[in-house]
Amino acid sequence: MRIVIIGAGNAGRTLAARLSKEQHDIVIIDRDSEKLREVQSQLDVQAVEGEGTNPTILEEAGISKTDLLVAVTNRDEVNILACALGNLAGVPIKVARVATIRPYETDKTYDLKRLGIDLVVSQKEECADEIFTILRMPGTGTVEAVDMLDQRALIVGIKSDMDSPLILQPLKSFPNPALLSRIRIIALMRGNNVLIPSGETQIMIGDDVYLAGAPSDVMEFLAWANPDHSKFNKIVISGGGELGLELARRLDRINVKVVLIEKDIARAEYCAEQLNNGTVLHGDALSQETLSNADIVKGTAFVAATGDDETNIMICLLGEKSGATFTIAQVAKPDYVPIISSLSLLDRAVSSHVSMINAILHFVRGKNVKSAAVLHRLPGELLDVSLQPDHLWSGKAIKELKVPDGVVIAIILRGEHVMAATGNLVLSANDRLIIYALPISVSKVESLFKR
Amino acid sequence: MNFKPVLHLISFLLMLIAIIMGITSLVSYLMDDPATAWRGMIWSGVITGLIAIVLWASTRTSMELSRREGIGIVVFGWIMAIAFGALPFIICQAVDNPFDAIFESSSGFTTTGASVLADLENHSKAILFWRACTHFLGGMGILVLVVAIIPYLGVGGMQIYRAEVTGPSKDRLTPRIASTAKFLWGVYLLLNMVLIVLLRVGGMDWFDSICHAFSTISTGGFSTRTASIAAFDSIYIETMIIIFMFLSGISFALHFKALRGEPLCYFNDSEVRCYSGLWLILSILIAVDLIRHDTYDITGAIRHSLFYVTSLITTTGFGTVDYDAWPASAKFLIFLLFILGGCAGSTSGGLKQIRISLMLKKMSRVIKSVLTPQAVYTVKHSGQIVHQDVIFSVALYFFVFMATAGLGSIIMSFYCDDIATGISAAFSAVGNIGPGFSTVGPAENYASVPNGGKAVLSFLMLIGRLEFYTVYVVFLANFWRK
Repeated sequence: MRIVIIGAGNAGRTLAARLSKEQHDIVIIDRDSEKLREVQSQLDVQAVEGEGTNPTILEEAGISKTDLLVAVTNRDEVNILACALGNLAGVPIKVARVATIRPYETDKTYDLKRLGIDLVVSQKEECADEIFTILRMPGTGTVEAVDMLDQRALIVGIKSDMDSPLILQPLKSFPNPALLSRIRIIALMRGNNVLIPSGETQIMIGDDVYLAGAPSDVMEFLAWANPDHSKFNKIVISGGGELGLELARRLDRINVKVVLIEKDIARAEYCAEQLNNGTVLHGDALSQETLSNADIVKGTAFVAATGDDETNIMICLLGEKSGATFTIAQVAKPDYVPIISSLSLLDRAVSSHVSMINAILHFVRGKNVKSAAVLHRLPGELLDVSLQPDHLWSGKAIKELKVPDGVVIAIILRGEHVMAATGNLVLSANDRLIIYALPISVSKVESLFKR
Repeated sequence: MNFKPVLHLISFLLMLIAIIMGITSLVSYLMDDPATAWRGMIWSGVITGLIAIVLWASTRTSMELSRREGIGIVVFGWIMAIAFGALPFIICQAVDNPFDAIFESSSGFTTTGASVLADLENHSKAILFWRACTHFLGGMGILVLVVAIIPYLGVGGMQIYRAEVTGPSKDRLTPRIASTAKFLWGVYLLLNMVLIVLLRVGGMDWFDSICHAFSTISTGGFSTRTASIAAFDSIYIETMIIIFMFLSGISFALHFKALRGEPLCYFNDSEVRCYSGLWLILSILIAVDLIRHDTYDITGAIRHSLFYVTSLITTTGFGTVDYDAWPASAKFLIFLLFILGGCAGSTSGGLKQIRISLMLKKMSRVIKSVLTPQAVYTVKHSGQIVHQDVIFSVALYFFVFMATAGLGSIIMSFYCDDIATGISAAFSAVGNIGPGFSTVGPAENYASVPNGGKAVLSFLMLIGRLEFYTVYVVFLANFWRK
């Protein structure tokens, strides 16, 4: 697939890295030659210097032969215009990033689909989604959480600490087999290695355990596995930008106590207007005084979303010091994410690109295998496959299948019913499978379901 | 540096060489060579192949390469190719000294074309064909071929491509390096095939046409005859070889564009303009000089001047007459040609025309700005502004080229009796030309150079082929760190 990416910033680079690993032909356009040089030294992609809204530049990038155009500069107008030009040049799929989707959604007149843009992504909104999902999970052990199949299934990564009942015994002699049979443990992250668990696998202290299942089952499991499973009683958000405000709005709507800290007085006033019950503090989240005014107590979750990576990390450290139970930092630079998770100073770093890449990967996969989700820390991908009636697997029990290495069947959606993939379950035609595959195994799954 | 993936990839390279050795022995058998020749070739292939298999099996690993491993593969891959490429010369008893074998192999893979073999007609077909094959493999870059074949190498694949494809700016024909490498090899094969047919039509037998086509398109210079192209004494063959040498001195990316339906791309390219301009001017100058000294009549002067200017500017090194007997002024122009080289992205060596063109342009801008310091001048190449860093690196490249060749000359002067031999041998090796002056002139060969000198020249050829930095980086302690 030939893919043109406009914008070699953090988003464009993360996307290019991801897609070039999968052997797509990638051309990246940016007006900054320095950025392009950096990208070219790291990735096997073609770089074109120039403005993405200039037809000559687009031609140079081979726009007429392109299958997918993704415009992810930090200027909405450039992204939208580039996609519109791509539409004129006959590119089949166009994806544009905008700061906020809402203005384009409120009135059908301004629906960007009318300009031929197939997908509009807003990193901030996708990111707000993700943080919101994590905050809804009980307890502090959640590493990440992703909704799937229209919220009928949930994938959660949890940290196993000393008190966890999960650790130090093989999975087959698990104390609560009834509960375990309703969820599926798809992978363990030990340090930087992924382990695909079997019955003999022991979970160690510090492992991240990724499990999948129906939301109610997963929640029940989390409540059981987490010694401290109370919900957060208060959420402090620093940074009243689009992301912070959007998050505050959503939490406000479900009646969670929210405190929003914003430096700029005008913006703070605007935020106060937007919230019904939440408190808005005007001040710098980096100052001890503001933090003490925010009244952080045990059970408080702390979110840093100022739009500046370094500031966010610092704010989270201060928040932790002031007594927050759980801290989340929004981080844009892809290089930071693995470092932060290994530092274990923060509970969670949320990179705003992953959710966007999820949305885009959806278009890249073939007809039969769709991308369901990508997780932050766990390499590989969750794939969504529909079982054709004449497929080899149809009518067989899961334990009889020859599943390739590095591939785990996670959940099965039959009609409206979500089931964890346990060995005795017999697959039937038209089941929808969610399959976890390591990066090298994604293509194996694709060829297994190729038609 | 992580050795496992490096050795793993090198095992593919050795396998490829073993296969070509097998083909050579088949050719040799069919051409009624003595048994020692084709058996020796088979043994070389078997040894290389077995080592390749052992290496392959013992280093199976993930093939994703970083930049460091990419450089490692290029340098060690070339050293291994040269080392194993030397086997047939020893096993087939073409030479009796390992230095000669390494020299011949290095000269072959780097497409230099300098030889230690005298009386080529007395050598087996196996050896002659193997020499042509080393040119063929080295011309477009043996590792570029590996990049084209092995699907995914990550950043390291790019590093390999950058290190092996010549010139300061590497045109990408396609977004992915592997497919670019495929296209370049495709154009390369096509040119080879066309020339084979054209030479056959001109009266060469199949064996000679294949060997000479391999030598011409790779701008190597090995011939199957001691007298080189003069042995055929045919205006047609000389013309064909001139045309294809000239084409091989142009970027293969441009050929690809032209074949894809933009034949005008040659005229819009500043580098091609500089290349053809220098080619024409030097041909005329030398021809005039030869006429002025009554060395040849008008047609003879034009014929020989054209042939040598093309042969040397493209760094092929084919010969017809002995230019060592020419007047001093013509000889100096010949020596100038040792440095120039063809276009970036071609199979030729030397400085490369793009660097010359950029330096000339920058020079004129600097001179102008002395008069009007406030004026803003930019250097353009094919209509695009060239960044200051590029100009700087081009100027530095010139220095590195001259420093390396200069140091080489100093070392060579210890091994040679006269200045002309030492200097010309060193410059000829660094520029991947082939012949030099005096005792290593076009009518002579390198057999008289002492063993130490052969080793130095072999190394200079490798440095010149990989454009210096890639080889020099291996000498940094930092490179070896994991």
